[in-house]
Amino acid sequence: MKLTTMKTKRATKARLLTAVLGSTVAVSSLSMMSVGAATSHASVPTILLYNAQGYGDKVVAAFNATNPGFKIVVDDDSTGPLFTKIQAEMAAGSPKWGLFWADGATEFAALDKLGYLVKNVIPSTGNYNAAGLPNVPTDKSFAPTGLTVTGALCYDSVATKGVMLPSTMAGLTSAPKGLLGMNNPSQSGPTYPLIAGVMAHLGGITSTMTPTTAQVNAAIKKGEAFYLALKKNGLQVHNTNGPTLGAMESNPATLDMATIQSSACYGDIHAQPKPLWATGKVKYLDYSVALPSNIGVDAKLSPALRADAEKFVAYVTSAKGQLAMQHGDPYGDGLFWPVIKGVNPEKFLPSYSVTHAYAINPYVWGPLENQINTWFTNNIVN
Amino acid sequence: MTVDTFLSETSSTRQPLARLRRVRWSGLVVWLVLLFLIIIPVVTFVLVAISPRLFRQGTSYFTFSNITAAFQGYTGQGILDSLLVATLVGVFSVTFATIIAWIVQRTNIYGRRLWSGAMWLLLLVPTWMTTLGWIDVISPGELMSALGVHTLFFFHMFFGASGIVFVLSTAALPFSYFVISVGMRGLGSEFEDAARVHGAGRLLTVRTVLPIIAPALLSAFAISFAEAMSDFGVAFTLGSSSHFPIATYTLFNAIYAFPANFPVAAVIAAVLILSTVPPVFLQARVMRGRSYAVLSGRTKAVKRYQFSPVARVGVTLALGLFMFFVLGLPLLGAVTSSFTNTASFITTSGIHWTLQSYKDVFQPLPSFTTLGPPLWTSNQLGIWVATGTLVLAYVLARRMASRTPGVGQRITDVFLLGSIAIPGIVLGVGYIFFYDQRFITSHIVDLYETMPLLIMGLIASSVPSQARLLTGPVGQIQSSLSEAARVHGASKWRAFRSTSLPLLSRALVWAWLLTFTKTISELAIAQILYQPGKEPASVVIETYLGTIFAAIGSAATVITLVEMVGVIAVVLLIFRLVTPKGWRRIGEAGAPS
Repeated sequence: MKLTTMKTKRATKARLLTAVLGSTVAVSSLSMMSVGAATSHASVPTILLYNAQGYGDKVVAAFNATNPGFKIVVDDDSTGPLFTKIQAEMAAGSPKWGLFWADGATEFAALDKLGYLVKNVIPSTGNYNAAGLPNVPTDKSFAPTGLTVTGALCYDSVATKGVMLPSTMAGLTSAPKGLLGMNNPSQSGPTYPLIAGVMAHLGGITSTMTPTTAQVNAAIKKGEAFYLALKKNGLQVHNTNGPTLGAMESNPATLDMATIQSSACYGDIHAQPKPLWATGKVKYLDYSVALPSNIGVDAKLSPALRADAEKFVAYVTSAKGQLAMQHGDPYGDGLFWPVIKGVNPEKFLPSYSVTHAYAINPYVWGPLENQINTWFTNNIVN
Repeated sequence: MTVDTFLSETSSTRQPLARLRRVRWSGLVVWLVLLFLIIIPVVTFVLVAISPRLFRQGTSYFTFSNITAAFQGYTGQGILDSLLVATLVGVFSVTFATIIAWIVQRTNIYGRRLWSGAMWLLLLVPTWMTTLGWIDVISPGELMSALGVHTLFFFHMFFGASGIVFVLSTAALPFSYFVISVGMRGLGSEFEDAARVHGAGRLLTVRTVLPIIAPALLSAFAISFAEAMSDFGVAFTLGSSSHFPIATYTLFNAIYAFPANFPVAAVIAAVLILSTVPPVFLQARVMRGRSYAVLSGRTKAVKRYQFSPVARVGVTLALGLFMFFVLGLPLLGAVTSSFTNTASFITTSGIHWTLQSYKDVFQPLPSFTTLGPPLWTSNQLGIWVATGTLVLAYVLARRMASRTPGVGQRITDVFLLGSIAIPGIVLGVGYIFFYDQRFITSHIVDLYETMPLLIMGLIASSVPSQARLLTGPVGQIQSSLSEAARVHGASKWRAFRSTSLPLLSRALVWAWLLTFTKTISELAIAQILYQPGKEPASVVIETYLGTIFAAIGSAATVITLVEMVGVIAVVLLIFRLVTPKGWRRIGEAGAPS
């Protein structure tokens, strides 16, 4: 009898405890069901920034602190998902994004061609330097905010000991077999600009030219022949910068050198508190391809919000904003060459002129991205 | 007014009311919910395939050109490859699951609970984690290299058709195992005894008994097939690097292209969904006109086959080796990788064991997010999604298990399996296409980029598979149980509470736990629909894994897995404390132990 009573009491206590625990968890989760979006702050108007830059959050925090009239809210993700969301929102007719900040110009050119971007977003105060100016689009529908290059030759100095490193892009086809790698353009944002840049360079198409279809097709053919030659020479394709660098930094290294984005190599070589890749080096060939980071404003924003968004664009294209970008991710995306006069690159970076950066016209090469990536997937990756 | 006239007049006015009363409102409500959760968003997305201009994706209001394009070249090859892969996965997973289920449920193998627990662990590990775990094992410079094993051959094999089929088969294995286990547990040993009494040998006994669990076998095949068709994790990790395109990868490519090719992606999505129709019809054809209800109040406890001591040890070791291979090795790969902070497990100066990656998870680099808040967000999401899914899945399972099969049941069946094959990324983009329509955001409700929409999307992705998993246990409960309760004056709720609920309690708890854990690891929908500033854990982990800081990603993965297992332990403890002992003893329909 006594045992039964004790058991009943224990069961009741357990149920009570469970009820309390369950209620606590349920109540704490109630806030989830609020339909308030990130952008709906009653006190101040907000603008949603679709951000693929490592320093985005820090820069926005600094900007919001000094601009109390409105608020920039950050949606961090990779360029691919953000670009997909923008297009899906536009297709649905009710875009939520206000600003888009990512590496590369081709996707911005694509958005501009679809009429999704505000023209003339670059403020008159924007004081671009010589490296930045060639990347400013004629209709100023997006603003370059920094420069990196893609196609720099990253290599492991120990693994390549005794190997004669190529000094030209064409020389990569005759490098020792199986040592070279690169990223997959379908997965890695900065890789299509590299392929397009190689094609443009081989075809002699500069960023200021308006080439004919025949000229572009000829350039594409030359580029395809180049990549087929690389494949024949044992080119390895990894998805993104991470796995490509990992293949070079592993022991045993499965890759000795790769043509990837310069900032990714510098990030590992100069990582703090200790370098992730002490034996890593960067060599610039006869040319690399300029990869500007850009910011654009949604054309469907209300005039008031558009004006606020343009204040943010003005901030990141100012010397103060450029410094905030550098300090926001000092060993990652912050390793860029500033595009504004009076701002120096981080001490690890060589002079921009050393990179022999070749700029491409994103309005020419942007629309060809699907076609060229599909070719690359079919013929080089698979 | 004559009596006849009065009667005819009153009956004519009452008829609509009576008809209205006969309408099954519950069914309408269920379909209405499914309409907004799954049907409309997916149909909206698929519509882009033939009418791109409706969504500003082209110039044609009606065209078949995208269908032609999707079946050509790389994408066409992807569709064919996926059908082949899904069929192989279905066959492999059902075969292995049947053998394992028989060994665990019907023999005296050591550690039965351990094997069922291992299956649960396998079920809750998403394919992207498994794949990355394997990469941590067989990549040059990783775990096997440290053990002196030359793995380059396996490494290249893994990044191909064999790797894809292998990972998807291991992912589908627990689905099949649980469905088949339920069938075997409900079977009772009287059927085997009857066969043996009538002179059947071992093989003939198996041939006699297996058809009784045909619904479970076919259901397991169908689920495995659909899961393999829609899997995003493998497409995301292995698909891009392999020389073997699969449909989910080509779909992923079409959606993430610059600019996105939504129309072709929509065609691929439609093909994935429609590909599940043949398995369902095969299942329906085989089961037509037969009853498989074997679980009742009189079901006897199973009699286990007794192995000899040596055979018992041998079988236990063999199963242990198998489970270590499919589950232990990839987990070991992820765990060992998380305890280093170098680009590869073994470096020129040896292996550098450190807890730095675990520290970095919570004190990350400037450009990364700490795991704490995202993990809490994922847990909160898990609670909502698991609870919502359980309610809806149970209702659907009851409809599927109805004793009076009709067109509605068949439609539900096809619909659910078709929905399993919907890749998460399609649901995510479909949700934007529909819920971000201007007339909805301006005049009804603006849900896009809020948590409720993400919860809806996650419920939509969980309900189909959970409903099908619950259909087995629900279908095995003979209706006579609740009918008896009703005859004795119990209300509907009381009849459910006193008959079905005790029998199903463990299955329901496990269904909740499975949905909870799957929600935490879900990536495709979360990445598209999460509320800015409230990233779920899977999105944060994926960000790490895609960079050179993969070791931090591995540490975050391990922490998340441990947390999931912790929640399972707590919930099972609560279940043990709260439920009457009788429930725990009989509430095993569909439970894994």
